[in-house]
Amino acid sequence: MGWHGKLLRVNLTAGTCTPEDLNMEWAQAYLGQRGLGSKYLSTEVDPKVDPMSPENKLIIATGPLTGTAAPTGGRWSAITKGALTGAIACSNSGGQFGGELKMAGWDLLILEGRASKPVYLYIENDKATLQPADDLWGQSIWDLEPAIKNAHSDPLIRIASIGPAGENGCRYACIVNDLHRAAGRSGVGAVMGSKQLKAIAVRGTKGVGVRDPKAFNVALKKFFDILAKSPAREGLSRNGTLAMMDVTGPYGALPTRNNREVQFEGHEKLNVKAMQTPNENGHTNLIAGSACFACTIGCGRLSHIDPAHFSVKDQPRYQKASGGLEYETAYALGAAVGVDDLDAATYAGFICNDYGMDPISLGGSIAAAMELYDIGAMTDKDTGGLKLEFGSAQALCQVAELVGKGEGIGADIGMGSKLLCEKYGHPDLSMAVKGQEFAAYDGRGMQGMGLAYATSNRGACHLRASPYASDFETLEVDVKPAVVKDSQDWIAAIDSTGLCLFARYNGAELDHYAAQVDAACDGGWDVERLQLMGERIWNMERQFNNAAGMTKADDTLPKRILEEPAPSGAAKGLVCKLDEMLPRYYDARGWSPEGVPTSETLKRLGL
Amino acid sequence: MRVSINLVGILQEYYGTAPDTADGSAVRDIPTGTTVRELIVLLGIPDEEEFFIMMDGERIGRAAIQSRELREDDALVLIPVLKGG
Repeated sequence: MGWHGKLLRVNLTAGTCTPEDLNMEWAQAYLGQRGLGSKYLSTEVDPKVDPMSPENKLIIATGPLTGTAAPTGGRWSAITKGALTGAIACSNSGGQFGGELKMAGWDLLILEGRASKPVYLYIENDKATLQPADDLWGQSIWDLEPAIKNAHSDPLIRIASIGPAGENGCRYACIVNDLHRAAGRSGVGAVMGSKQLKAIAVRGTKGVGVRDPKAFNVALKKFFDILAKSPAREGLSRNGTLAMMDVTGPYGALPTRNNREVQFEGHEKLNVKAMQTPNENGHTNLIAGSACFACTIGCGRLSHIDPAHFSVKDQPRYQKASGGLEYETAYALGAAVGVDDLDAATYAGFICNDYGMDPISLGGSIAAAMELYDIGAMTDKDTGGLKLEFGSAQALCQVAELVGKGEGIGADIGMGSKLLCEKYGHPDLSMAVKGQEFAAYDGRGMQGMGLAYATSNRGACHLRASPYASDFETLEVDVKPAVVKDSQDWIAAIDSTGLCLFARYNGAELDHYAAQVDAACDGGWDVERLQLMGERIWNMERQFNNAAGMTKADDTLPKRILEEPAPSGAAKGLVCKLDEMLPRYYDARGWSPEGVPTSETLKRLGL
Repeated sequence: MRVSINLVGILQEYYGTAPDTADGSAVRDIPTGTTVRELIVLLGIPDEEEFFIMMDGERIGRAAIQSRELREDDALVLIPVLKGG
C-alpha cells in the first residue's frame, strides 16, 4: 500500500503503452519518486548516452504518499540524464498533476525511444494511449492545456507539458504542469522535447490506499498540527519564499550581476513589501498565495502585471494572473541581471511559464550574456542590435522571449551559460556547476552552499542540501562538510516520499515524515532507515555521474567564487574555501580522495 | 541613548508598536551601556527564535552579542534565518 505496484512503460518509437508490475524489492530500498526513479534510470540507461538521443529515458515518478491526504502530498519528479548537465537529473514539482497521476493508479511512467511525429500521452485511470499532437506542436503551455481539456471535454484533466522552448532544444527547458508549476531544473523538458512528446494528460479517480488508515490519520494530523502552529510556516504562507530577499540582501549572499557582487542595491524593489504594495498607478503585483495538492503551507504566489507596464501594454495575454515571483525567480530575473523592475521580472517569469523554461538558468544565462556584452566579447552584431546591458528591463524581457522562441541571440543563450561562455571565449564567466547555473546564494557569503553547489549530483542547486542555518551562523568551514553531507542524505529521502521538503523547513522533523511513510507502506520505516536510504540514493546518483565520465574535477566552482573575494557584506574579502572543505566532505561520505565511493561504502549501502 | 532597530520579516511582531520610519526601522531609547544581548531581551525576542544581526554591514558573532555595548546611533538589522527558497 502507498504504492499501487504498477508502472506504465511507454515506448514512443513503437507507439506502445504497456503496464508492468513495479519492482517491489527496489521500492523497499528506494521508496519512490527521486530514489526509485533514479534506480530505474541507473539500471536501464547507459550513463554515457547523449541526453537528447532516443536511448535516454524520461521517468515520471510519484512517491508512496503522493495523492494521499498527507499535507504537501502532491510531489512528483522527472528523472533523466539532464540535457543541460549530462549528469543524472531529478526535477521535482508540485501542483495537481502528481496527485492525479497517482490517483489514476500509476507509481511511475517510463518514457523511452522517440516518436516519429509529435504525440501526447493520455491516461484515464488504467487506459493509456498515445495521441497525435501535430496540431499542438508549437503551442505555448497556456494554449496547450485548455486545448487538451477541450479536446477531451474534461476540465479536470491535469497536464504536464513542454512549451516551444522544449521543442526548440533550449537546454534548460522544463516540464510545466497546471500552467505555472514546473519540474524546472537540468533540462528535463529538453529531453521530453527530443522524444517528440508534447504532453502527458491525466485523469485519475481511483484514489490511493494506505497500509494502516488509522495510524496514517494520526500521523498526518500531527504533521498538519506542526505546520499549522509553526511561525516559520505562517511567514512562508504570508510572504512566500521571496522573504529570503531581505535575508541574503543585507547579509551579502545575493548573487548580483553574474556574481560580480553579492549585494544588490535594488533588492528592496524586488522584495515582499514591493510585491504587496500598490505602485504609483495603484496596481499591486500580488493577487494571492497559492497551494499545491494537499498542501497546508501555500508558498506559491499568484501575480499580475500592471497593464500600463511596457512589457504587457500591448499584450492582454500577459495581463492575466499567473505564477508570481518566488525568491529564486526574483534573484535570477532581478539581481542576477541587475534589474530592479518588479513587473519586468514578473513578465520574464510569465514567459518562462508559458514557453517552458527554467527561470534560474534563464536568468543565469542572460547574466552571463550581459557580462560578455559588457566586456565586449559579445557585440551588437551578435545580439542583432539588442543592447544587452546589465540593469536593462527592456533587454531582459526581449531576450526572455527570444530564448523561448529559439530566435536570434536567444538560440545562443538557450544553450545555457556554460556553452554560451565557451562559444564567446570566456568559459570562466559561466556561474555554473556541471553546466547548471547557480541558485540564489553566493558561495562566498555562504560557504556551505558553495560546497553544496560543487558536490550536487545535478549541478548547482539550492535544494540538494540545507546549509542555511549553519551558513547564516558562521563562515567557519570546519562544520560544513558534515552539514552538507547529512542534509543531502535526508533531502534525498524526503524527495522520495511524495511530500515537500518545505515542511522540514517549517517545523516538521524527519521522524514526522517517517511516521506517515510507515503508516502508508509495508516494510517498517523509521528515521534511521530513511536517512540510510537517502545516503544510498546519493551514492547511486554519484555512481551514475562517475560512469558518465564525471570526476573530482567536476566538483568545483567558477574561478570567480574561488579567487575573487566578496566585495561587501558579511563575507567581505573572502573567497569560497572549497579546497579545505572538499577532502573532508569526501571523507565524511566514505569516498576515496578522488571522489569515488569505496567498496566498503557501497557494501554498507547495499549498492 | 538612541539606537535604530530594523526587524525583518517575521521578527516584526517584536516591535510592539508599528515601526516609525519609512524604511521599516524603529528608533528606541535605551540605557547607556546596554549590550546587544540586553537589547534582544528588552525587545522580548525569545531564545528559540533563529536570527542573526547585521550592524554596519557586518554580522555580529555570538560572543559579541553577549558582550558588545551599543553606542548612540548604532543601527541594527535583525534578520530571521530562513531556509530553502
